[in-house]
Amino acid sequence: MQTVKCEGCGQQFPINETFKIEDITLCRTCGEKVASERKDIDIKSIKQQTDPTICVNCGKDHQNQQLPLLAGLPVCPQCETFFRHRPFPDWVKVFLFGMFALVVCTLVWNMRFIQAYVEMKSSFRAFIRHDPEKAIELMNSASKHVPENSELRGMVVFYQGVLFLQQDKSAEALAAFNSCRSLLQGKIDKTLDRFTLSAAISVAFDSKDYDRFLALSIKNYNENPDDAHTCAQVASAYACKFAVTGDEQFREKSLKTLETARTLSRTDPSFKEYEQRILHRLYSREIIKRKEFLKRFPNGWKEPQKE
Amino acid sequence: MFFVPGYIITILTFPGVIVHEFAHMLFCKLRGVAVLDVCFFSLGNPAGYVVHEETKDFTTTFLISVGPFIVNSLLCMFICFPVLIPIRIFGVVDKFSYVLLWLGISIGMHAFPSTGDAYSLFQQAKKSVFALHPLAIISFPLVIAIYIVNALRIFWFDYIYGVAIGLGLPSFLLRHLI
Repeated sequence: MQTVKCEGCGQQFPINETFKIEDITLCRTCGEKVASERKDIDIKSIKQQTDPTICVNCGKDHQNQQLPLLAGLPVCPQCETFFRHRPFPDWVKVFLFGMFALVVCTLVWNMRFIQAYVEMKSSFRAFIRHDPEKAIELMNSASKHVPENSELRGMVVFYQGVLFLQQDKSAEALAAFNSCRSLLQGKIDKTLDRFTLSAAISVAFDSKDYDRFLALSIKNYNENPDDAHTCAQVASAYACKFAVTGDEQFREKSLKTLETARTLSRTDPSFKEYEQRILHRLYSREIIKRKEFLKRFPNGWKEPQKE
Repeated sequence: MFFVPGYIITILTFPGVIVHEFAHMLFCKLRGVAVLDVCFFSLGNPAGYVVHEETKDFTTTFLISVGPFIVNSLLCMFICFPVLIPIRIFGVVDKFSYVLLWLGISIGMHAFPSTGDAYSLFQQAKKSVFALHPLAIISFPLVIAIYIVNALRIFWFDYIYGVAIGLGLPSFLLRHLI
C-alpha cells in the first residue's frame, strides 16, 4: 500500500483515501471542506485517487509492487485472468441449455411435419412431371403424417382424380374432383375447376350426351381461348353432332374450329393424333374413343383420295 | 398503434435481453477482451449491460457491438424453425408452439444493438475510418440504421423484425430451397 501527504492538513494517508481537486491532493476531510467552501468547483473534476499497488477488484495489497492496469485501474494477475476469462453465470448456462433442449425436443416432436412438408413438395414435383401415381403415393404419406390437415387429404383425392382422368375413367374422376373440393377449402380452386370441367366433358362424351359435350367444350374454350386442345375439343363436339345428325352446318363448324386449333397448336405432336380422330369422325360419321382409334390406325389415319 | 411501457416489454421479452447481453459477452470472450462487469437482466434502465475494457482494434469493437444482431437473429430463426412448418404450412398450432414462438420472437426483438452500442461503435469508427478499415466505413450507415431502428421501436419495429426473421425469412427459404 502506498501513502500520500494531504496538501491540506499535511498528514499521510493511504492513496485510496485521498482525492485530487484541481491537481491538489487532499484527504477526505480536507476535500469535503474545500468542496463546501468553493462553490465554483465542478463536482466532476473531483477524482478519487487509486493506489497502483492495491487490486481494485479483490482489494489485495501488493505492498510496493505496482499492478498492471486494466481499463486504467490496477488489477492483480488473478483478477485480470478472471476478467479476461470471465465465465458465464451458471444460471445463464442453464437458461441457454434449457432453450437448446426445448428446440431439439420440439424439432423431434414436430419431425412428422417436416417429413410431411418434404413429401408434399416432392409430390408437387411428381405431379408437374406428369407422374400422378408417384404424386398420390407421396401426398398420401404426407397426409398420414399430418392427419389433422384436410388439405393434404384433399390433394390425395385430387391427384387420384387426375389419374382417373388419364385412365379414361371420367366418371370416377368427376366424383373425385367433387369430393376433394370441400377438403381443399378454396385452395387451387381454379385448377380444380379446370379439371372438373375436363372430367364433366369426358363424362358427357362417354354418355353420348353430345349437346352437353358441345356446351361444356365451348365453355372450356371460352375460359382457355389460347389452348389448342380445348379448341380442338369444340371441333370434336361439332364432329359428334355431325356424326349423329348429319347436319352439314356442324361439319362446317367443326372444320372451321379445327383450323383455329391447328393455328394454336403450332408443333404439338399430340394435336396431330386428335386432329386425325376428328377428321375421321367427320369422314366416317363413326364416333370412336382414342383407344379404339389407336388400335385401328396405329400408323395414323388419312382421308382416302377421291378418284 | 398502441403504447406499452418499455419495462413491460422488457419483462415480456426477457429472454431476448439475456441473449443480447450474452452475445456481447460472448464476442468479448472470443476476442480476448476483459469483461469488467455484466448484468444479464434487470428491471431498470438499461435492462442489461456489459462493461468491458477498451478494445485494441476496430474489428473487435465492431463484433462486440453487432454481436447481438448476429446471435439473436440466428437464435430467433433456430428457435422458430421447429414450429414454422406446423404453423405456417399446415395451420396446426399447439401450446408448445406458442412457447417457442414467444421465445424466438422475444430473442429476435432484441437483435438490434442499442443506441449505446451504436454510439461506441461510432466513436471507434471515427478513429479507424482514416485507416480505410472496411468495417469502419460500413459502420457509419450501420450506426444511422441502428438509430432509426431504435426510433422505430415505438411503431413495434422490433416486434416486426422478430416475426420477419423468425417466420418470414425461414418461410421464404423453405419455399424456395426445398
